[in-house]
Amino acid sequence: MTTEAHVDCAAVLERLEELLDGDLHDVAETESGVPAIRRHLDACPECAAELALAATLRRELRALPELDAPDALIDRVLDATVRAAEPVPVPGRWAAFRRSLEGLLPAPARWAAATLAAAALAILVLVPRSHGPTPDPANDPELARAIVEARFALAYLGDLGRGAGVEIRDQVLRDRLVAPTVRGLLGPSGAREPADAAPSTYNPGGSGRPAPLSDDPPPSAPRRS
Amino acid sequence: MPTPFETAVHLHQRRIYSFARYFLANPQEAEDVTQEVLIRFWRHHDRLEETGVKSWLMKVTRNACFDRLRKHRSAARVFDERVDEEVVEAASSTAPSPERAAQDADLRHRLEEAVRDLAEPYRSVVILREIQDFKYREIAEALELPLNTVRVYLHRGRRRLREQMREVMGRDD
Repeated sequence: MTTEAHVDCAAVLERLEELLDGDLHDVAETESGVPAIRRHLDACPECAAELALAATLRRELRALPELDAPDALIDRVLDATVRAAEPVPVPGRWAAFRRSLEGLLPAPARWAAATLAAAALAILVLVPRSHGPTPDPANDPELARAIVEARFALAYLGDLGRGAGVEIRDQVLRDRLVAPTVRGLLGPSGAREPADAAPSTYNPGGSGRPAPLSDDPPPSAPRRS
Repeated sequence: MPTPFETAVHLHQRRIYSFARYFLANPQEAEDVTQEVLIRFWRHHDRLEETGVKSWLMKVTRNACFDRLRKHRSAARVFDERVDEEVVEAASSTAPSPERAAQDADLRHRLEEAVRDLAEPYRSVVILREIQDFKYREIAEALELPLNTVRVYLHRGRRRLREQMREVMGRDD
């Protein structure tokens, strides 16, 4: 005849959660073994009630739902990541450019980002290449794309400016942004005087949309201001 | 056709957002954490092993939640009504009566508060195991704990919750 082990309430309460999860693996007839605990629960209403409470708590925890992030948040993330990295047709690039900035940056940072983008791309457009023939956008897809990007950036600057009640004059952009940036990057020997630079294609008094391609002579030719 | 990253975002966003919502009291903070984690995922996703993505994301999410708590200690203690409403709405079941629905809502509200009041690492373990149904091994990887320690922390966390909820849950239905 097997001698049954007995276990007290403290020991049972200590192991209730393990019992509930099936983590008590000792089936041997010991003081804290599963059979002894079950016998105690059969005989002790307080411990049985405590086990029921533990089971209810676990059930209620597991009933708490997982929640979906708002759709707008997911859109913002995808706009700033995988969609921003996708090549888009030129007509759609304006919307993608605005979205990529508006989704991530507050207004002052968007100003800075657009200014830098305009400066960097305006250099590509306005500074003559040091070697080789003068580039022609009609024959140079990369240059044509850069011109488009520069216009988008400048038009966006104009939009931001108008939104802030500020008009950016063409001369200010040329004298205060493009020329100093060119001098800073290339040094005096590689830079053109602002008066000799090709006219900006930014249209400050217009709707903010990029101005059409002009028939300006190539950058190497002398200009009239 | 969605890219692999887009597919992964849709797969994991619920996990990340849910953990942040239950860990933090503030839904806006949870949104910020989710955005931050997904942007970091974008930067690292092509270097992660597929089998380790889930644990990596939860580790980064938990760390981001800690950073938020450190910055905004007081905000973490503020209860936002919207948290309760959204959880109740998402978990709405076939409550037999408005009174029962109100009792259920009250219980869930108190349970969420009790979970948020749990000390770490019990809070993380309870959220991951009981709410998000992570396996012990996944929790161990995410929290960098031994497997047995995860079990011990889970049991202790639930025991503490039981003490907190005794009065509320001890009522007869």
